[in-house]
Amino acid sequence: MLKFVVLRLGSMVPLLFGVSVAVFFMVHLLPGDPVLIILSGSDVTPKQIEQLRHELGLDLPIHQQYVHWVTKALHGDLGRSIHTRRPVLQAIVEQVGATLQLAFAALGVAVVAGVLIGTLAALRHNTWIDAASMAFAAFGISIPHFWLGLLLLFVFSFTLGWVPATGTEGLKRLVLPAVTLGLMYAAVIARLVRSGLLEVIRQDYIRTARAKGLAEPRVIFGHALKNCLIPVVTIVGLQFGHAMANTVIIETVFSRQGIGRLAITAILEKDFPVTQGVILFMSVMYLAANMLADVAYAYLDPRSREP
Amino acid sequence: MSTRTIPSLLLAALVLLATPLLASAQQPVQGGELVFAAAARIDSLDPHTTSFLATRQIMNNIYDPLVRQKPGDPKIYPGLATAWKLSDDRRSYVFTLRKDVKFHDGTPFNAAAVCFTFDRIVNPGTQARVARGTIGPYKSCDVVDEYTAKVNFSEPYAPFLSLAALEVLAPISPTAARKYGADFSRNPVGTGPFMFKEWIPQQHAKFVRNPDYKWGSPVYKHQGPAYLDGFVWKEVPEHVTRMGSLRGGEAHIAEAPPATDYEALRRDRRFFVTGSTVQGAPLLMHLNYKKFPTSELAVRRAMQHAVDQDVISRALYKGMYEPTRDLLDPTTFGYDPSIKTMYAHDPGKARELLEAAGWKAGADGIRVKDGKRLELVFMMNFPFDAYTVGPLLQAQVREVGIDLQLRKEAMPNYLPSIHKGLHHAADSAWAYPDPQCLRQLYYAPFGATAFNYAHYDNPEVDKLLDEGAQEFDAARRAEIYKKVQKIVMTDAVSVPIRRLRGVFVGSSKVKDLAFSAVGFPLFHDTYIQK
Repeated sequence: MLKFVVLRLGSMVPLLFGVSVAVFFMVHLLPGDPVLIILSGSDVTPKQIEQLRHELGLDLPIHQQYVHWVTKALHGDLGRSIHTRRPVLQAIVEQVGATLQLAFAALGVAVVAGVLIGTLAALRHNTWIDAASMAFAAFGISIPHFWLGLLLLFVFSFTLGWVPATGTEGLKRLVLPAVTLGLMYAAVIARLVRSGLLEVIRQDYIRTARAKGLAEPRVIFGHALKNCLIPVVTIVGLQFGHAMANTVIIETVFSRQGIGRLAITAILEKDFPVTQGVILFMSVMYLAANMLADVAYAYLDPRSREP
Repeated sequence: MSTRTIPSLLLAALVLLATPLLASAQQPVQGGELVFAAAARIDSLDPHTTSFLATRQIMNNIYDPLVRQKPGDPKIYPGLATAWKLSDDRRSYVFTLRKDVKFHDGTPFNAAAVCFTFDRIVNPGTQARVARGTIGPYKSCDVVDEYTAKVNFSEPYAPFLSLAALEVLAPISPTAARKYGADFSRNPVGTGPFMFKEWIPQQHAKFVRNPDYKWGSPVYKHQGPAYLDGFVWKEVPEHVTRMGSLRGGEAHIAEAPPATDYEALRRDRRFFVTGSTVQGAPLLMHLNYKKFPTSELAVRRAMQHAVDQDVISRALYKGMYEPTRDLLDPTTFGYDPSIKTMYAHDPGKARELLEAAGWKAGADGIRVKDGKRLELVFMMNFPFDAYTVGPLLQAQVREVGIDLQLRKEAMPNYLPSIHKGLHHAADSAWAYPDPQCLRQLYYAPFGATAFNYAHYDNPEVDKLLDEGAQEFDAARRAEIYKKVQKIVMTDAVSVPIRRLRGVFVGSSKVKDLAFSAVGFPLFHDTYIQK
């Protein structure tokens, strides 16, 4: 098991290198110029423009900028925002809590709703309940987040006034964003649970359990479900990374704090140190979540530890 | 008594009868917290280091500048200074300051604070940006006595008084600035009608009334403490949510509605829609004066005739932004109203001009001369709305046989590409309370390394711009800038697109929202009707 974890960690090194290169160069391909944003609307001399480009390091050859950036990043220094001049890491730390809260809440919604709906669909296979559940799954997967978010806002905030539309503080403000984001993952989990359960309940050991006279709930939740949850664990791990990335849209629609919004505003404002920092941070989170999922899978299913 | 006076008397009686009614309807209400739904985030609450127009919008409410201006009125009104005088050598201003002003931290406002502020702006360690550009050829500041400050420049700087009315040059508390250092941006201390309470990044900033405030500038309706208990500057980036939070009652004012909502909101009685005027240069498409084929006057003039600003305003902005054919907003000092009639939308005229200059229509409709196609590269600048305007402009100029190619340039290359002159057209706008902004756009000595996107080079204009910067006589100064506009437009260097405007939608309960000269909201007189 330890060997597996170490190997898995080792494989992250080239990945991270690739990510850092991609992040750095992608950001520099964004159109527009930060100097313009900073100095627009003032009376400047060419010397001041030159000085600012120098201050921002924009006058260096691009490979040199990359080496500087990576060296500093390895020391935990992601640079400073060109607009707020605060350390990027500090801004990320300040915002990441709200994003994690949203991602976990969304996955909570996804797991609970997904397992329930999937189980229900499998137990009522080929009935209208099954059809309705799978229709819901198709809906959840295909509906765009921002649209669903606005729809929920329109109904529950602007019309009914049950929950506030904007802000981060309190559980009340978490409900709609978590449902919006969680629905898509719930749909995936529901399909997975349904097909897994349908397969498992035809197995011999389930027939044996029933033959022993075990109560049906015990059969389903104690024996059947347990075995089809293993792929769900992997999926949730993948979804976690995905959810972190999708917060970009949710945080903007619901005016929540978070690193997703930090990224999107940084992109729009050409704040390249922040853009790079956030994308790098998200990538590391994504890789870490995948690794944890793999380890959990290996732990739950020893067969998968074989190379 | 003549028969004509009777109706007047009746009218007067009616007015007298109605006065108590009007008065009761317009009595300001004390209290309440105003929620402003803002589109953009805050970068810094330090007026000297901020570079966001969006953040500068807040500053007038927490800081008072030395002098003030009203929208569309070039007159200078008192602010923290009650009087000012230009020295005989025209290189210094002597400001007489109010004696009854205190910063939010209780420390007194005086000449030392003014000098501290200006010295801080030019200190490289402060990394001041817009403020540094605005203070111009500042040299030093002398504390003449406790309430008299003398500000010295290395050369005469005529725009200074109107710039001193900007929040970016507003005095800050020296005590707080020394105490917090770079963190002053998160602990702002000024003399304004509202005091800082908290700022949670990507959420909101809160401000509370300054109960000791009694030095309101005459540009305000009243001079005592503000009516509101405070205001919340809430960041709501998504426009549907922003407008929804206004409709749902979570916000009192929301800025920047989408153009598609504009008409419906204007007709809705629950809301008021107001626009602030923004002085300076409107959104302009500059044509490269040095690069073929825009180096040809006929091509530049054909562009002027080919573009239809009215259609852009109607189709794209739904009337929210007015079309313009000016180089300066009409509210700017020195604006020349005559230039807007120089070129009308007239595709026929454009074709004629190109035809006469030897540009003949090719097989695909694009004109050709000496084997060269009439292709123009438009390097679009993301912060403004070129992405949406671009395709429409492209279609319009194609009508006369010009192929406008839209180009987005990668971040580190944008300005260098413009400086190298790889473009034929590039857009910019310049919100500024003085025609000095024309120097940013057309001054050749700044040439290829500044914001002169047109690479315009006309010694006559350079000379006029130099004179304008040092001319203190208002009438003569206005004449200089009118001449500049005339010459630049005769050379057809920039195609105007639309006026700048801050658009705000508010609940009809919100009264007396005012604006600064460059269009930023002022909450000092604002109140919320019960």
